[in-house]
Amino acid sequence: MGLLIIDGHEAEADQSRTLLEVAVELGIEIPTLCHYKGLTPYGACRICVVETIWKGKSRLHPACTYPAWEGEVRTDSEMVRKARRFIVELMLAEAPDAVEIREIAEKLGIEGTPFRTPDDARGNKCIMCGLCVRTCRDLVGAGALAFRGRGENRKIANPYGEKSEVCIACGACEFVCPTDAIDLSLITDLTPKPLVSEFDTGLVTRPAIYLPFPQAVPAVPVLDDEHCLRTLLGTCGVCEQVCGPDAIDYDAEDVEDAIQVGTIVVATGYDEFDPNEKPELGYGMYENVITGLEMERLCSASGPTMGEIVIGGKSPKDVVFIQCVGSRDQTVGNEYCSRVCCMYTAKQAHLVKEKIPNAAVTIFYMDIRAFGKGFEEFYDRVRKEGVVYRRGSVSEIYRRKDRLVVRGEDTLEGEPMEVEADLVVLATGLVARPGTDHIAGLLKLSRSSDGFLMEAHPKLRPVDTASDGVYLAGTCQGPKDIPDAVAQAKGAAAAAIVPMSKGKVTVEALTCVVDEDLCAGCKICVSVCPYGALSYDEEKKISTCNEALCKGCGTCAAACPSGTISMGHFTSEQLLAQIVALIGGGNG
Amino acid sequence: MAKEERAPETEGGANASEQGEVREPRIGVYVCHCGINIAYMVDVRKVAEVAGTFPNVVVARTYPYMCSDPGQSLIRDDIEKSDLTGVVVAACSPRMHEPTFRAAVSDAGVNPYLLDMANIREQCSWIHEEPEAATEKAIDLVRAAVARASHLSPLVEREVPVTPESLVVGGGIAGIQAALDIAEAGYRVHLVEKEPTIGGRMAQLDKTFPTLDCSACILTPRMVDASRHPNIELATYSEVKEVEGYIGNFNATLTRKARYVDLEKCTNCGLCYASCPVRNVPQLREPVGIPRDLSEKDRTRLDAIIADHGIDAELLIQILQDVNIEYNYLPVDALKYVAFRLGVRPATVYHVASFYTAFSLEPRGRKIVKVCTGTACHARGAVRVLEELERRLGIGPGETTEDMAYTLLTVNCLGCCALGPVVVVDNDYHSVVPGDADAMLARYETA
Amino acid sequence: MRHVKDIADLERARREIMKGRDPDARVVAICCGTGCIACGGLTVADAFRSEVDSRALASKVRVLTTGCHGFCERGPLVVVQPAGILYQQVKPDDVAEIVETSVEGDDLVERLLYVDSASGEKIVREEDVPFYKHQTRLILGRNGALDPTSVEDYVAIGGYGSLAKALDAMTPDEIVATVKASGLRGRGGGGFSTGRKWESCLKAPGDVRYLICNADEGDPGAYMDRSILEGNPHSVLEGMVIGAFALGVTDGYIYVREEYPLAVANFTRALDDARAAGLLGVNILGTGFSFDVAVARGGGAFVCGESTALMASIEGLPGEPRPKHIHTVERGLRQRPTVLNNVETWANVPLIVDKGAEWFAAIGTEGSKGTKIFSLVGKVNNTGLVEVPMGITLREIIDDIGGGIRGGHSFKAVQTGGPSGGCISEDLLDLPVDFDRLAEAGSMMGSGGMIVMDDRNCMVDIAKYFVGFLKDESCGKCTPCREGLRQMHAILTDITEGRGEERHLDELEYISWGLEQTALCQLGSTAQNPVLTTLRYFRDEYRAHIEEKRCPAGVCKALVTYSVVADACTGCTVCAKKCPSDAIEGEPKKVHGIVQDKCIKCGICYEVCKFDAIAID
Repeated sequence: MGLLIIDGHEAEADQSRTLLEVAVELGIEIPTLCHYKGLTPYGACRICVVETIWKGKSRLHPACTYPAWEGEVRTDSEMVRKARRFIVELMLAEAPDAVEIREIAEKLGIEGTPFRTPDDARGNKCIMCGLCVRTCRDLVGAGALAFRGRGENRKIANPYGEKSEVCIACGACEFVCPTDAIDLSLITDLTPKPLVSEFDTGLVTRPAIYLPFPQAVPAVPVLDDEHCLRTLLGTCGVCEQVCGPDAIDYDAEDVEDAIQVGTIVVATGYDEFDPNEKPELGYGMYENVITGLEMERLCSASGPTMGEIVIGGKSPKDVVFIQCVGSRDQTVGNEYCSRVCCMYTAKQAHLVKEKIPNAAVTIFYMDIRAFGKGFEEFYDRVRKEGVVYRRGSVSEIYRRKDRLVVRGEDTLEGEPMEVEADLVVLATGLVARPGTDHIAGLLKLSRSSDGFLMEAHPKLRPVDTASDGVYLAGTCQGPKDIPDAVAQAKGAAAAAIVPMSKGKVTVEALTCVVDEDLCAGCKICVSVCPYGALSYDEEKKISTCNEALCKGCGTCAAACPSGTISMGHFTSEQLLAQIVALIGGGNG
Repeated sequence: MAKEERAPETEGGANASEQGEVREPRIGVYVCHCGINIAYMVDVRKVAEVAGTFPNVVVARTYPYMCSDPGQSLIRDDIEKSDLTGVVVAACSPRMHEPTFRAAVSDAGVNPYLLDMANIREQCSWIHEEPEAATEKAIDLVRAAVARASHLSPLVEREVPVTPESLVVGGGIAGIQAALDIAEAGYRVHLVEKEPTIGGRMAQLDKTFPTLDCSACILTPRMVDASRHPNIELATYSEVKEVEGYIGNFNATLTRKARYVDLEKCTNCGLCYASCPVRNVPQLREPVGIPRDLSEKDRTRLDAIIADHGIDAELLIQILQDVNIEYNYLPVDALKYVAFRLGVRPATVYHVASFYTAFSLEPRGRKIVKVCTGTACHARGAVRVLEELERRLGIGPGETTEDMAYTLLTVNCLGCCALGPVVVVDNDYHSVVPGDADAMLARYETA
Repeated sequence: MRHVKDIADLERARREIMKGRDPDARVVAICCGTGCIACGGLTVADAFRSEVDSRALASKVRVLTTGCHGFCERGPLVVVQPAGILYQQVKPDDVAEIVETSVEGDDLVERLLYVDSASGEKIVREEDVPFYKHQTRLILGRNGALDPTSVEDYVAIGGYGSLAKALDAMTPDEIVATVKASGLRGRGGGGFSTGRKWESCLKAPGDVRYLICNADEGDPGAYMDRSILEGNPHSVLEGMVIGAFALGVTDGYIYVREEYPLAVANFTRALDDARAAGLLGVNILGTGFSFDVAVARGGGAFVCGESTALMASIEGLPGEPRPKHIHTVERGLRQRPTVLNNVETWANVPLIVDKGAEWFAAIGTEGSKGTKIFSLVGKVNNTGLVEVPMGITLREIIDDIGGGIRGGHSFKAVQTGGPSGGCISEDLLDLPVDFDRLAEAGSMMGSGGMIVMDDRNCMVDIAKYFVGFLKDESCGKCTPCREGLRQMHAILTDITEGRGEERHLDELEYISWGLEQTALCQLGSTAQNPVLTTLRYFRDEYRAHIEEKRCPAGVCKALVTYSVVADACTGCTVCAKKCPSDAIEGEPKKVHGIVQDKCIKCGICYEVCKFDAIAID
């Protein structure tokens, strides 16, 4: 292999790669428009032309398709600049409304174009790079979007001028378009459903392979196989192609791992109350009615708006917070207080005031519960910042013109009231996760009436559970704020450490006993044992008891039709003696 | 403490135990006052008195608080002195103090399971209003307990080793904290998180009340600590599928969901998620089949053409040539049907059909007038001939007259360059001098 | 024809055919190339058949409908053999007389003979006609001797003998070496050495290779491939089979324009006949070698002349070129090594195998060997297909063969090489026709179109014509070609419609530079040639359009007015009758006048006036 010199940087010539690939690796920037990693290089836009010098002869070649043969390459010579100017000037005339082309022109120092925009190109943004068509055909595999015609009449079109019946509305065409020229709704007969970021609470979309958020741990993306074109349709495969370290494996399968542990800490957390259960609040209907968690993302400097509170592209003037959404509310079955909403609302109100000083902020509340360290002081501070706390209950949110109206009753004055708003934040409460049943079943835990996991004793054993060796931490046990969750976690950790540090535990002496001679092997006991302590011995054809698992509950003994099973501490002899003594009465 | 009178000692038994294999049980009965909780309703002395008369009972006493240290000492002393083989405590619910008295019995060298309790508080004093009857009932309960105690046999408590590893289910702030604490104590921790990353809800929060410190800023270092801790085994995108066993010895099965990205190899360069083109939920649909409005007759016509060539996507253009001839243009449903039969995507069929000039997507006239605009014809005035025909037919190139009689087309060269300008009507070639086009076409109109 | 068992059997089969034919029989060869058909060739042929039948001459006279003889200007052409008498512009009414005089008898029908425009003498024999006399008709010459739908006819004149020789006496490497040594260069336009192309393909890795005959003759103004395919399809097929044997190919394709129905029909027939005769298909001539050819009809796209676009089209896709930094001989059809040659190139192969590399290399110039067929058209007297040895000058072709400019007008330019070629001015007429010399002049050989222009052709209009053609034929894939040509066309339109500005010439040169440097395929990167050559040789005409708003040739409608030359007008009324907008007024036998407000400048009056009484300013 020979030597390739790009702008003075040396690289190994390798005709299986393109000049563009090598240049990118060397950190040399070459503008591209029709190029997309994962698609076969197309060489249509020609903006990536570079000057190749071979045996003293200069030629221009597109870097995206030209093999990295040996020789010298210049990516920013006079000739290259002239050619790129030519291409950009043609594009400016062809797609006068493509902002991105104007930006490229500016970057290349091109002020305008000597060329005329043909009448039929007025308002056009498309530069015919064909990424949309090629992506739909080669990556998605649908072939919903087509080139039509040729020459100057070549256009991107829906086949037959009809809305596509093969489009799967995946949005790939829109995504790859370098000039924002695609409107998916004109292509498909489906209603596109954005694939939204769970982390950003649906405020932005995410790809099918994604990193949940930049600081995720582990910092390794995950492929969402329910939305990946490869796992769904066997097409695409872009991520595998672009992955340098070859880390993508489409054939991966779920793996089961068996582990042995001495103790278990359950810290499965909570879920946000789903305000769709209260349709009168207009959540899901109006984009400017959002939940507390969505407000968190909207305020966050690393959120989709970089911390700017904007909704529908505008910064709200009137912001209303509604407390106790899904908490202290019998109509949705949640009688409890979620403990954090008063304070997070106060905090969010403070942030609104900080970010939009002239915004009017009103908070509708039932009671303010500011019981923690520094809470009451914070509540006072927020009120002093001009946030209006109004005791009231909200009955309905609806739209009037382009604004929201919050209607309800002022419960201090006993009067009906209406307040207009541009943004309504629902202080959604904390509810038990849907998976709580599963974990409770696995670990034989109880749930309290609010649906959260139940501790062994509300006061004396707040981290223990009815199952020895299983402890609770955080909001899976009930709503709590971060310090409380951390405190309970530390308690649970300490509790879990105890038996491990002792190295051994005493197990129940009261167990069932199977009389091997009498057992007929009917297996009824196996099916009724709640602890899985009884099993059927295929060899002996009888039931046997694992004394370590047996809790001595006696269910098996009661169920055994032949009286084969007895309980160590409650033998028939003992119980009969007790009964005889009772009914015998007198002074026995 | 007031000194309690002793109940009469019963004779016998004590020596027998040392000699015979079958020892007669020697039982001590202890009746608790529980302050006045029991004593206000039950005549505890009488109970002890009567109890002292029950078979096997060698000693029966009362005491205000049996659970107190002196109360427990009473039992331990009697065991030693009177060589008791069993103990009955008549007091409160065993839920409360059974472990207490078992410990006391055990301390004195008797198997803790040779203890029985009669609950004369919850089951007696607290629920009755007639002292005499309550006392009677208490005596009955004690009798029954003594009877059972006479038949109790010793049980052995077992100890099992504890696996020095812990499972933390959930990788939010609570799970991370618990895992870190256990790991710091020197034990191995399996931190299992359902989502692809740990961090939980706290990672989503902005600032935290009331101190307004940044949630992510205080959380992410903890996340990193957890991932780096040598004692923590992180299992993200994983769920606990099954748990069996008991304290110290749990067997758990974890399901590690396919992440499709190798945790070891990935460098998080970001190219994969920057390149993934999917931004909406793909809505899978049934493959498009035969166009609904295509008649049986048309299907037969098209099938015949396809059969002539064979089912091969490469033959698309060849097949469309014949479809174009058959229908004089390419009807949409015919294109869709050919696409369906050949397994060619709509985009390709449409591009092909609109790319080549031989194909027409619009119905064409009964006669097709092609004007050669090749160079030789152009040099000899083909444009004028074309203009003449345009005027005559009232249509432009590529158009069809309203009565569907003519379609006017231009062709880039018909290969009769010596005769230019050339016009072809259907398959007849005409060398047409400008000015003669009218006359040439007129011949077809009369015909 | 019967099935041929092995190589030796081919000669036996040929003798059997000859035995069935009377060597003394008269043959009437009627040209039924597309040109002559357009002039009524088929009806003339029918007339001959019924005349021969009615005279019961069927056993003694063979009426032969042949492919193109080349002299299309004078069609329908009839040649009576063995005397070789050429009758031109024959009408069905003339047939009986010809049969009686020259077929049954030995006399001439004088009025149908060709009259030499220079000497005024009548010329009897085809080969003596100046049009033919200056040609070297190695390939086209056989068209007149055979019925293209008859494999026997081809075998009778020694056809498939080269194939037999190649299979029998040569190794594949020897064949490649012979073709290479002959100096044959691709006749499709590029002029790349055929032998070297074959060699590269052989060296390319991969077991499966393909071979393609490009018959998508897209160049407007060129039709030699059509004439060969229509007139002698077996010669092309024989070349392909020889190539397939040399290259170890089993699957070949011929990509023919759908606009050439007769070529498609004749070639398809040739394939069927050759297969039946054991000259194609499985186990060719009993040698165990197998090869077959499939016909792909092109859908009408000039860009499919580009090899990768053509291959895409064969694959059933739109004819979009792809980058070919890696040549198609390595990665062509279906990404496999592929040899693509055009019709004329393939037709040369049997000749070279038959007569040897030295014989072929002796014809032509240092860098360009053999003969080349040109389509000599436009404003010359004798239009048609001409086959000449490389190195002949343009002047010889135009004057000696073409008989000079028609209608007493003066020569202005000759356009060669199709839309990618250029216009050559009079001072370069002594340029020898040769791949390299034409390129030096800014034009190119191309596939052999040669369009002669006279003083009534506007060179700006011609440039606009080519740019317009290419703009429509561009596939539209790459930006410079799609948009650059559109802009170029807009500028040329402005110039021809009187809106030309000085800066336009610079802009044309700027776009030309951009096209050449940045376009994806040859269509785009040579599209500037017609503009650049006209700018180079005919800049004055551009200047006249821009500065004086005048079209010297009187072509650009917006810049001309038509008027009646009173001295010349005879009042014949033809112009008034033909005028589509009733703009010409005047009484019979009196001088007419043109009402300028009504005139749509269609030019019909100018065309129809027999007295040159219409003037263009």
